[in-house]
This record gives sequence, C-alpha cells and structure tokens, in this order.
Amino acid sequence: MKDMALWNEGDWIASIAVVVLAIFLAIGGKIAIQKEPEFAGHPKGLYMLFFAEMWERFSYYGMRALLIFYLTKHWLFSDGNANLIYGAYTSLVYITPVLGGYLADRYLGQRKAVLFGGLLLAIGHSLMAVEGTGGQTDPAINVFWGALAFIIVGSGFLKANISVMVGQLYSLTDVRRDGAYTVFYMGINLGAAVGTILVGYLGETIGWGYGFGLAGIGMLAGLVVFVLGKSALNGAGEAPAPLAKSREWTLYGIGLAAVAVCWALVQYQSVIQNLLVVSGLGLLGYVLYETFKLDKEPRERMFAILFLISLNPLFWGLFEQAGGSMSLFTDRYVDRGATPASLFQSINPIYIILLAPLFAALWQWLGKRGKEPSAPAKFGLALAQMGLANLVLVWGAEAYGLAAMTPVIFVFLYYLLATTGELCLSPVGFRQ
Amino acid sequence: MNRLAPSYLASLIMGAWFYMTAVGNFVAGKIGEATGGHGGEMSKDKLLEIYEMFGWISIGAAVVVLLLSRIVKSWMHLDTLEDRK
Repeated sequence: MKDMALWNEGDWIASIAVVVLAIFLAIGGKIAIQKEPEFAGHPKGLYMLFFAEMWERFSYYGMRALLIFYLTKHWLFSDGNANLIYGAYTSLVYITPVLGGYLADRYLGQRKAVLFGGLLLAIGHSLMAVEGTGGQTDPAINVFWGALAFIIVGSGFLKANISVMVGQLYSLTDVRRDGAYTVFYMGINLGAAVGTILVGYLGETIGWGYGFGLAGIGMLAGLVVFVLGKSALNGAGEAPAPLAKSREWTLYGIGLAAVAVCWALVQYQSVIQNLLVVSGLGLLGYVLYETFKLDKEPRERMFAILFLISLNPLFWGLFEQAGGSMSLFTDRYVDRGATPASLFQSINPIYIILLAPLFAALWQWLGKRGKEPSAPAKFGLALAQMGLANLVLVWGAEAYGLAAMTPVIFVFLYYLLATTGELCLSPVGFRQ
Repeated sequence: MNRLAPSYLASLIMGAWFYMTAVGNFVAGKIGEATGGHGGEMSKDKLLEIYEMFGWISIGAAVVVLLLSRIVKSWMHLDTLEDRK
C-alpha cells in the first residue's frame, strides 16, 4: 500500500468512491437484516432491486469507461476503428432490451429473465479480463468479442426487466410509484459513478484484467443480492403463465444463440449499420401504416411522437462521444494531473445525482405557473445545450492554444452542459 | 410519451424510441470515427473541427425544433388526451 502522503488525485478519488460505496452497502446490510417489511416508506423489495441494479450498472459503466482505451492501447485498433466498434457495441446494448423485454413479458417472466441476464453479464465481464498478449493478431481477441457478445445479450435480458419489476412491487394506483423510480434511478447513477471510478482506476493504474475483474465481481455481487433477496419480491416478476421446463430452456437456448450472433455481428460494424438502416425503414413504414389508419387527432399525436423520436440520433450521437472520442481527447490533450482519463466518465452520473432533483423541482415550479416548456421545446433545449457543450470545449481548447494541454475545467463544462441537456430530454422520453 | 400513442401501439412506440437511441449510439461511433480522419489516428485539431461542426449543427437543429415546437405541441392535442393508468 502506498504511503498516504504520496497519494495522487486518482488515489484520493478512488478512496472516496470506496468510502461512499461502503456507506451505501452498510445501509443496504441494515435493510437486509431488519425484520420490518419496509424502510423509509418503501418495501424491502425496492432496496433489493436498487442494490442489484447498482451492481449491474457498476460493472457495465466501469467496463465501458475502460473499453475505448482497451481497444486502442491493448488490441491496438486505430482511433477511428475503436470509436466505431465502441458505437456498434453500445448500439446493440440498446437494442437487445427491446427483445429481452418482449420474451420476459410473453413467456419467461421478469425475475428469471433478470437472473439469466445477470449470469450472462457475469460471464461476459469475466471474459473481458482475458487479456492475451494484445494486438489484433492475438487469437485471444476472439474471447474479447465473445465477452462483448455476452454483455450485449445479458443486458438485453436484464436491463428493461429489472426496471419493470420496480413497478410490479406497487399497485397501479399507489402514489409511491414515482418515488420508487426516483430511488431506483439514483441506484443506477450511484453504481455508474462508483463503478467507473473503481474499475477505471484499477484498469488504468494496475492492469486491464484487474479493472475488468472488479467489474465481474461487481456483477456477481448483484446476482447474489438478487438471488438472496428473492423473498422480498413477494412474487413480483413471475412468468405470466405456468412455464414448462422445456420452454424455459428453449428460451435460454435462444439467448445463447443470440450471443453467437452478436459475437459475429460486433466484428462487422458495417453489417450492423446496414441492419440498422433496413430494420429502421421497416419499422418506420409499419408505424406510418398504423398511423394513417387512425383518426385525425390520434394521427397527429403519432406525428408529434415521430418528430421527437427522429431527433434522438442527433442528440445521442453527440452525447455518446463521452466514452469514445471525448475519452481519447481527455487522455491525450487535457491537463488532468495524475487522474486516469477513464475516471472522467463518472462526471455525468455525479451531475445527474446532484441536478436531477433540481430539474424535477424546476419543471414542477414552472408547471404550477403554466410555464413548463412543452415536450418538443424541451427537446429543442436539449439539442441547444448539447451543441453548446461542443462549442464551449472547442472555444476553451482554442483559447489556450492547440499546443497547450487544455485545462480540465472545459471537460467539466462540457459534461455539465451535456448533462443538463440530457435532463431536459429524459422526462420527455421513457423513464428507464 | 407513450401516453400520446393509442394503447395498442404503446409498446411499438417504446421500441421505436429505444431503436432510435441505439441508432444514436451507432451515429456516435461514426462521428467518433470521423475524428480519426482518413488515417484513423485522431489529432487535436481534427477532433475540435468535428466537434465544432456538430456543435453548430445541433444548435441549428435546436433553433428549428424550437420554432416548430408550437405546431408540434398542437399536434399532441393535450387538451383532449384522456389519462389512462
């Protein structure tokens, strides 16, 4: 252990993250062993899901913070290719929950879907730790593609379904539902912040395998919480109809087949691009077909929805530079002292934890006066702030000269504006 | 937002929303790829050039969206929207 007097910024940030995590785990332990079925007005099941999801996000965002550096520094992809692989991977991570949600709603039930997804994720994160010798000619890179595929499909089974289970703990008219989702949302961001810091710290200062290994351990901890806490669910998330063993195993088989498909897909990003275009056009055609069957008012509502949805790629296309090109920029051109570059990925979830309550209060305050911006206006504000984030970074970097290291304040300003943009957008879409 | 869609289309709209978010992530990969230029190696001025261009594109889009927001809001017909829980 390093003498405390010699600790640098990175050491301190990681230590603070450990302390914060320990405090939350202590509170979680207290809730787990207490006899009362509720804590702070919410059922124990909510806290069980909070910690399971906290650990899952810990592993997911921790791994993601390291990914662009693992691609460029270990597997030696060019910056351009690394960004493309990163984007292809995260896009698949967003698509699979749609399919996983469907399978859980129709057949499997959310609890078993989350369990299966969690297992796949734990396998995926553990496989990430298999480093091999590095470079794209190393056969171990196939294990790496497999690790990504396990995480893609695992997220598909877990992500949407664990959110649905939060709602199932309450009756449809229970006024605590919104509050429950706020608590759950905080667990997501807490896991994202702490996971990014600890996984990033270990991965960049000690070795890739240590960082990814910690992500794997985090996911296992989430699974343990989920399995041990089953009784707190009071039957939430069970299959809609009795599930025959043979059908259950068929569904798991489909999951494993999907891992194989994703293993191949993630290596061929242009195929993913074509699939996105073709299925996107198909989806649009189908939605338009349904839309034109409607009467005037519901039809126009569908147009409003389509208008808002069509803006998503621009906003997220810029926002998601964070873990890609923005990480590389921070690593190479920012005066960041001894702080590992991946740790900067924790700024967004920390800002969310701090600012989400302020924004919720602001919308409520404006709403009472009849001045809350409409959904499309909020979308416009989100795009304006995301654009401004880009420009502030550019102006800041240019003001200090291209030859000089850019002061870290501009990275913080960039993420601040990106986060306030995100907070204008999230109430418009779906709370997940 | 799925409140705006007829109930039998709610899941489809939710799926479409995530789909377009996924597309956004892929677009992010393409924009990131562009910061690498032709050779694939990122440079500071190339990255700033791309960031500046997309910064203005996003602000331009924001202006258009804000100008259209009244019309789009009227399409939402919030006054006649029944709340279903």
